[in-house]
Amino acid sequence: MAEKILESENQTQELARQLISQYHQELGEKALLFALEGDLGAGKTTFTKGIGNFLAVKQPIRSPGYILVSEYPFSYEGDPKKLFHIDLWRVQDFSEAQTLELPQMLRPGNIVVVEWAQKIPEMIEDLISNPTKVKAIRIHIDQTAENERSAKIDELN
Amino acid sequence: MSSTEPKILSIDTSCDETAAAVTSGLKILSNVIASQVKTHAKFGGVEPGVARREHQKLINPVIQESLKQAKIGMEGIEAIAVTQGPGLAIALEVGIEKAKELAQKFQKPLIAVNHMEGHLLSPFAQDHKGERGISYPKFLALGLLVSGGHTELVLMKDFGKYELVGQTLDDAAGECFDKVARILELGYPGGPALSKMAQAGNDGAFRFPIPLKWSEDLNFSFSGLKTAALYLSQKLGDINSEVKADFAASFEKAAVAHLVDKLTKAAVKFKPKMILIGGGVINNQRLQREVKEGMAYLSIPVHLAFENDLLTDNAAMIGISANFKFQREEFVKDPEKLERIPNLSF
Repeated sequence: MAEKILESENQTQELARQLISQYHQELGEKALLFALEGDLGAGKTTFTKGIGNFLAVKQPIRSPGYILVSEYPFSYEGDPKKLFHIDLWRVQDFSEAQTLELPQMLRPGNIVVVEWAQKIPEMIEDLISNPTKVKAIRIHIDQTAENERSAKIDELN
Repeated sequence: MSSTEPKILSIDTSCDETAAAVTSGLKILSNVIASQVKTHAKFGGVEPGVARREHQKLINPVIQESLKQAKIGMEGIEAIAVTQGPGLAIALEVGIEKAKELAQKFQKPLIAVNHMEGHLLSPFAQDHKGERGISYPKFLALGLLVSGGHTELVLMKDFGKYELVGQTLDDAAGECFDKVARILELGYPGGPALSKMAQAGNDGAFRFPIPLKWSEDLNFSFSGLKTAALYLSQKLGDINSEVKADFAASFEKAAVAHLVDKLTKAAVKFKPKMILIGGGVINNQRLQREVKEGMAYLSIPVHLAFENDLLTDNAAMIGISANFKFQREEFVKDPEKLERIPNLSF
């Protein structure tokens, strides 16, 4: 497990860019799952902006807090792929999250970012039970001071 | 298909609400919404959620109710309209599949509508007598659409001719209200509760920064306000309801100032002849008042839908959009192939 101190939104985005570039080559055979854990204001959407920025997604990455799932097209080695940005803030329970059909999103080359992943630990377990299809990374962000966050990063499989 | 006031059955399942409506031209004959707040008793105790299966349970009873209230059968309906996007894919799909099925079964033309165009055109809605609503539209129009999922400024040159000129870069305004309400422990969805509480508060008690105040572009940002609210609440610790009211009022003041600031910049830039406002957050009284005051200063009339149910997500506004598409004969060419577009934009 690695730990990083983040002192600005830029640093949060930079961490996202670093991680996506580190795992980018996995996309040839797998889907990438980023499980983001952290409270309101931790910087989860800011992190996702960094991912979108690295992938050269054209539209601004906005919080999908209300519509739950946003999807953005990007290309991987010339092939059209999708970045799914999921926000479980409003989701009450596991069964509601299940209807979002995450497994269908986890096709090789696609990236799924889940905010509030701490709400669905069983489901994350389930999603990564097939390690040949999905590479999953957890980023747990805690606010440590007014403008300081600590991010713990670990591979889930 | 030469009807000037076509009777259209419209369906909207873009997010939480399962909605159906019947319109005749711009007149609303019925507008049925199965929302988490209102109707679960009526529909047998089902609590609608975001889930696809909830929409599936509710869609038939909601459509039946909309036909019943409009006192019309499917034979009297001239076209079926449905929201194609933007929204939650799995929710949109339920409405689209149902609309296809009805169009096929009853051999009616199908009209695909952009949910945001529905919000924009909601001020054109008339009551069942043909009263209310905008009688003499003047273009150029400028729209401010503010809801839980969207915060947009749209230029309207004519019906069907739109240009998105500003939007939020992070959180939508309504989402920010709900999140700050959560910080203040007002429950979910807390936006309306926060606004109610704000009425009793002193809006000068705390200072919130007005986002992007010095930027000339027309985009919005609410994420910084949310974080400022979080830091303030951490600094204050436990607070009584009086301080909470001051907090709510001070936050609301800044959020509304941000919306009015960008609207004003857009109005000065484009010199529209009318302003159209729509979306659930327009129910916020302070926002409504300050938009009207701000635009009165520029001598630009402001129009909004004649009732609150037309501001939040609903299907009648989809019928209003569909009416103009019907007049332009913009029907779906191959209904079988109609697909949801979750990130549909203007």
